[in-house]
Amino acid sequence: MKKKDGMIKYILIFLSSILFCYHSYAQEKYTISGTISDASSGETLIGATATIKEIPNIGTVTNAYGFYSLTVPKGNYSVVISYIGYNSQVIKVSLVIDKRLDVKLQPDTKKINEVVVAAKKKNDNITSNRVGVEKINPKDVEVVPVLFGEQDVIKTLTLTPGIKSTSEGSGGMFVRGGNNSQNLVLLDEATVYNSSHMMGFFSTFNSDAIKDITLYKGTAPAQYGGRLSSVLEVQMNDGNNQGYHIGGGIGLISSKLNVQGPIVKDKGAFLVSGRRTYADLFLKLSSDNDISNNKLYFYDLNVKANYRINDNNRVFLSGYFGRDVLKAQDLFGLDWGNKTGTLRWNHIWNNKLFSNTSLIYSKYDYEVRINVNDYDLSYLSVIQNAEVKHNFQWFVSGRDNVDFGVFGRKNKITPGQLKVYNGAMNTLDIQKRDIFEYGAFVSNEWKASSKLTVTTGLRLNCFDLVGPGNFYSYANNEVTDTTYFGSGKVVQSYLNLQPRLNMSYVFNENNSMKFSYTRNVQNLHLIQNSFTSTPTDIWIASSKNIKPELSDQISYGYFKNFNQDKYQLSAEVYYKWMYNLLDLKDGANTMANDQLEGELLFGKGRAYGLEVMLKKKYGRFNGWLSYCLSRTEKQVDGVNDDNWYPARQDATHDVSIVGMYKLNNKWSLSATWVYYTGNAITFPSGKYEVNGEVQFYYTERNGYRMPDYHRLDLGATCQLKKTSRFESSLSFSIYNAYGRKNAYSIMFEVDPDDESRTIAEKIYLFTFVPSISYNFKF
Amino acid sequence: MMLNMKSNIYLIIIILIVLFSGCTEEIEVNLNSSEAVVVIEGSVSTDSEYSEVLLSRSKDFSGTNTFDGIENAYVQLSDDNGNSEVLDETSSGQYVSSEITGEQGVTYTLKVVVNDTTYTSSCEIPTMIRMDSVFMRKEISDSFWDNDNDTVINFYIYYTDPADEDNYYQFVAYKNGEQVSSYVASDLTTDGLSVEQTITFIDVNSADEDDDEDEILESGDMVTIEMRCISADVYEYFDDLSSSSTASTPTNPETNIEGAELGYFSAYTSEFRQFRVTN
Repeated sequence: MKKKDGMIKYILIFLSSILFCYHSYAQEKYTISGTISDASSGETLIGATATIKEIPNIGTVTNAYGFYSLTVPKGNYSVVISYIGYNSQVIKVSLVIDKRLDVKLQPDTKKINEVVVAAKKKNDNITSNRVGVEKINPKDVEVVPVLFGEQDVIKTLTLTPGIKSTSEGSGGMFVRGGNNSQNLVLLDEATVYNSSHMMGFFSTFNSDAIKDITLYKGTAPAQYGGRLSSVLEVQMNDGNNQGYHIGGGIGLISSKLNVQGPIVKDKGAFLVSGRRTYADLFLKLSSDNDISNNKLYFYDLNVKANYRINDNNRVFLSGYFGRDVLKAQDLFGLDWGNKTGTLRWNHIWNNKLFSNTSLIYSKYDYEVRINVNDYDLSYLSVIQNAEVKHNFQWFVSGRDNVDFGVFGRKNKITPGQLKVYNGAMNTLDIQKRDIFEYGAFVSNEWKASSKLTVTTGLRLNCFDLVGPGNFYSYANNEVTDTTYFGSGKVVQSYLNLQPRLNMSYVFNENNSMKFSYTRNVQNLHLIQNSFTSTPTDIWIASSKNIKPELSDQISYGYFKNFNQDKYQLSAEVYYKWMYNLLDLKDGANTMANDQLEGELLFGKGRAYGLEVMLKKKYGRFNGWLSYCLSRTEKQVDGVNDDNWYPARQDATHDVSIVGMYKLNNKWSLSATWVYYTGNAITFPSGKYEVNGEVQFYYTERNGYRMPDYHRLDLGATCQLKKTSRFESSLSFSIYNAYGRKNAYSIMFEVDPDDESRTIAEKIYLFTFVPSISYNFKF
Repeated sequence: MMLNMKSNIYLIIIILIVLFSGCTEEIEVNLNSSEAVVVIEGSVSTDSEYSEVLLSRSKDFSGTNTFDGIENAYVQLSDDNGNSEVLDETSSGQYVSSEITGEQGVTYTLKVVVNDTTYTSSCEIPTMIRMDSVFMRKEISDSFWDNDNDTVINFYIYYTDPADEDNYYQFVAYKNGEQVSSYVASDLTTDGLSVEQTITFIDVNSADEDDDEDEILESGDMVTIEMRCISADVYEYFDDLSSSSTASTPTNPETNIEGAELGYFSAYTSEFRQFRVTN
């Protein structure tokens, strides 16, 4: 209890220090506020800027719901509203009272020659107080060539520095040396527990339904927390409230369709977007029953509706349903998927205070079904949560923006349950776990001067593991004591404060430097036991034995634009310390194990690196060059003689080159090239004989490297028809154009042709995969 | 039936990889050399014929698959009834007991000295659980994974697992006296039940060149099925050994021999059944 009091005191001191800086000015001031949206679709624009021509260093950006608020002294002003890809608007206002200014921007259609229009705010990368952030608009990268022609925003993200694909063709990512499970993936605020389909070859995000993607690999806003390495914030499109539109695409392995339109024009809209693969339909063509009787597909369904009740109230309802199904005749089945739902209410209290209240639900489940001989078994696992979140944004003045809020979440984990429907086998019920997490956050963005901006933030996270259930104490990985806790009784609590700091100093329009510090806490941990991420990975909560995973990260960045912001250069360095990381002990048994905690080892990690990116954002030719030099190491007691060793995701060099060229109004060409040092991996350093068979002898964890990886992809998009009513295009791509046989994994075995020797064999997946897809919109 | 979810999931992954045009190719990997480490395989059986200790050394990956025995070592077996015996080396690296026969509930201790280094281990023989019955049946395979539609020869082993205690088993198959396969099982999902285990061979008429010679049976072959009750740490050892190649970070299975890095010492019960393959 004493500890908590101390923390509360600390919070109060912190809050008052944040609020202290508001006293200084007492001029007569008025506020301009409103919502900025796209004139043709009614979609609100995130990150659009509102500036005042007469006061150069005053400006703001719209929040996640398109709302902005600016407070300036009484006077006559020209308010400039701009957003990349849209024509800017200049609105003259005579500010003698508070003013509501809702603005609809027209999309800029003549994309090729737009260089000068709205050039003013194209140096957003310089001025924004953000470091370690990647932002992607799916529209901007739709011509980037991808595997099987499936547009995938996560794969595009892995082409930027510091973000690595978990494996060939994978929809998972390693961010700044973190694990895939240390990324918080949010779709309209709801947690997505498994963001990949088909063992990771595709991500769960259908780019047709996505409006905006932001990945925070450094310091995330204080409202987000719960994972060590990054936050991926995905916003779904709201739907067009001006007219009905249908879009779709037919690709090599999947087709997609989206329908959107107004519920009431200008007031509300809906969006339904679906995607399904049909690889299994080809299996059906086979005359061989053993082949045609298999299933392998996934689908995604995104739905969203929004309605503006009046100028100050708006509600949103969004949902995602995705499922993977794999079935090998009637003998074996595996299906898994995510479901999320978010109900949100935006309320504008006054011209300075905006709030959003969210009710969020998310569920991930998988089931393995085996039906062989006389046995019928299922292995089921579920993780779900329900959450309430109440956020405020207080636009105190032109200089201060305060975000604050509270949240509460209940998680329920149902680890692998073995159910026996038929056969001589016992049902195994592994105990379910209930977890409460709740807390509060506050952050303030303070424009100290025209050059210096400081954002301070604090997030308080309380974690309670509660009964009912038997809870175990362990010593040396053996159970020493079992205690029963009744329903709702707190078994273990953790209270963590997570401070955050962002500072940016703008030297001039073309140069800035930024610094950030962040602490992150993770109380839900993913246990992975195989060489690739599978749907059967197990979630486990912090407990008496498992302390929350912690990380501290500092990063520093230098940003430079030249040639009228046409070229953007950034260089960032980071260092991350990680504590209480989980690792499985050798030969751990993770299936249906009620005492899984006894199979764990704990350690620490460190990751550091340099990320350089040169981007050309505008013009007929655009693209980027990304380079990352990094190191990620772990130290776990009981592994590798307690020495530091490279983590699996450690790759020294990582290069990506992306180029997109608009040849003419009909054709766009694109190419990407990636290169990275092979992952650290454990290979045998010898062999011996036991039980009459050759066994391999391992001397060091991750002491070897996979071969270096490189690959060239090419793409071309042909605009077939473009009128105001109908648009269609054809996309071609070649994945791995020069057919390099990149090793996916390496196996060691006795040579089947010569039993006197042992050999290494590599598995490689995709060499030269062409694809074609047709997309339309009307 | 052997339930091994872990390996089923790997199979799925492999199927997916194949579906996504996965191919394999032999490659050259530059592997370090390692010090030759002592490997000990010790066993005490309730059937004296099989109480022996094998000593060998590990070698570099690039070497041939022949492993020389360690000669002239000191190998001693003793039990908690006060019996003790120094084993004779009958062939290179093979030390065989002539006096000690395993008994249920008795703890055995192994002591090996090689070049002044001593290795020790103790293991208790668990209570014997007997096979209820064993059948040999020639049939058409309906397994999705392999041998699809092949004619196979299955050996079905039935036993009753005692309720409310942990039991560990090892099933070994011999073809014409040579051990050809073995695997371990626990009663995690079968506690107190009547359990079926299956060992599969391929009929010579269905065999193709990809099939391992050891797995093919023809008329006249003699097959011996052995069921062992083993200790928990020996079960862990063999379970790890069989899954280590597919784990994300392969490791050497944890040995129950003090001082050693590789190998095991197992004291177990044995029961055999013999079958002659006919047409």
